[in-house]
Amino acid sequence: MSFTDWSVSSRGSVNFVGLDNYTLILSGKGTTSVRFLNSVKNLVIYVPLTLSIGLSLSLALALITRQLSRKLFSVFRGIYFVPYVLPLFLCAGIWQWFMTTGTGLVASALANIGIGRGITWDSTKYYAIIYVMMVDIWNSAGFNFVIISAGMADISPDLYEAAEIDGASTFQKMTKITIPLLEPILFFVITYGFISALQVYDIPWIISNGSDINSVGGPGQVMSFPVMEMVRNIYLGGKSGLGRACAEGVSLMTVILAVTAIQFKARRKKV
Amino acid sequence: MKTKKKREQWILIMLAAVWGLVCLFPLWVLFSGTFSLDTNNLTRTFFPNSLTNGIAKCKEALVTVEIAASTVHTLIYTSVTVAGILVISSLAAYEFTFYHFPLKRLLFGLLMASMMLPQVLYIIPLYRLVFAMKLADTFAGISFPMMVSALSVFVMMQFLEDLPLSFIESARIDGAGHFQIYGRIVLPLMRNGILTTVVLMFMKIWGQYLWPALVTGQKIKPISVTISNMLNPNFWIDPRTKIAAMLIAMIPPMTIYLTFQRYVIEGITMSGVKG
Repeated sequence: MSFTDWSVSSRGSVNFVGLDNYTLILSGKGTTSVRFLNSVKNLVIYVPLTLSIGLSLSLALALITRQLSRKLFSVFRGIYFVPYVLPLFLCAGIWQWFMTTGTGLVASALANIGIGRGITWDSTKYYAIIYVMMVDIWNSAGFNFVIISAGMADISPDLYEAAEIDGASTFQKMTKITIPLLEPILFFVITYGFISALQVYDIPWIISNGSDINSVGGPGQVMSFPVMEMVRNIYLGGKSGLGRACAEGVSLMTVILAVTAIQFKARRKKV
Repeated sequence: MKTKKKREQWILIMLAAVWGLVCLFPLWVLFSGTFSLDTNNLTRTFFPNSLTNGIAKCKEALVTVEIAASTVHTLIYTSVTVAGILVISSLAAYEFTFYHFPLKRLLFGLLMASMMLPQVLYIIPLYRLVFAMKLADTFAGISFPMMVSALSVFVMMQFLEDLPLSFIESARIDGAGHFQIYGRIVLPLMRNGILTTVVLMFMKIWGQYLWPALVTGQKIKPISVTISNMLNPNFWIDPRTKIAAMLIAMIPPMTIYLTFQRYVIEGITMSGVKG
């Protein structure tokens, strides 16, 4: 389908256009292409940062709560999972309110300590990506935390006992036992995180007010991501709209599959 | 030594509590923002102080922002979808766990691979299909495509694996057919699995945005679309009503989570650790 010129309005008459859609979106000429390439650029910044910060946070939380009593652990687990339970559109809504310059709680708190003073977060380059990152990490940390801590619970307590007899400190136990044995879990979390981060859509779409087709991604597309561009092409209709959207989707999928394949391969080598 | 250990514990609790606060604080602010007087500065309202104003705002949100109507609509299509998922996935899980058939490994591999595919990819063909079937903007049109869920098959299979094969065999010796075995033995025994799937899927579909937004138009209003339209800066409403609307929209998923917390966390763990 990515090789045709169909659109929402074309009925029956769909022509094969070969690689035209691909050359168009990758050429860097015309609005569609410029927007798409820009969204890819944003994605390249967004994905690694979100993954690394989000995962280190959940890992740290899991390591901390692991040292606490069983009861406290369940309480914290229950609390940490709350943001993940909220649908993404609500997370976006809440944070949009928090991050409004002047009236938002978090934005004004950050301005007070000198971060982003006098900036509209959703329309300034880079700040917009950080904004989306904050919402996403807030939302997904609970999920990663639950999985990581479940993996930790599977590690046999004998190992820790043995280490204790050998005189290992808490920190040593963490780095020498917990993290290496957690490898398969971390692998899953990273792979899953990659796949979902590459498809980031709901949060930036809502924050940048995607229901108005002209404002997708905010001014200058500071907050635009590939999936948003795809959906924009669908809504926009026009000639080859769907074909272009498909081409963008296929490009994105190729990246996802490639990344996943690389991850699996790298892992097999290590184990 | 003992006191040092105790101090360590306290520091850890404090650290853990900081993130807990980050998780819960927004919800609290949302709550206190709704139930406060119009004269309060919203940026500095941390405690609720007016019940009547809060109720008025909630009413306004339910009627003017159409939160009530959207909640009902969302409830309808979510329930239909979850019911569909249950039928399809439990049958599939039963098949995959207990029967051998040609290409089983390949089919299962495909199923698992489909979990990794981005939703956006099949959304365009699906949209075309639903549009061509004239199901756009109907409950059926929203629900059908979301009924196929590899994740729920996977979760149910985890529960079925604990079921001894001898149950099935003895039933078959007694002359029970496939559907008899499925209905009389497998379904009752996998109650927990079904409950977990229902809870997980309900929350997931409740929060869906991309697909419902694409396929609905004038008639059906998914809650996600209503909320995101409300957040549009061109759509001016009283900020407290806005907050109240979000607070109300939060109630259904939170209720489910609080009631079935054990199943939710178990289900999530299962999909992660074993997968």
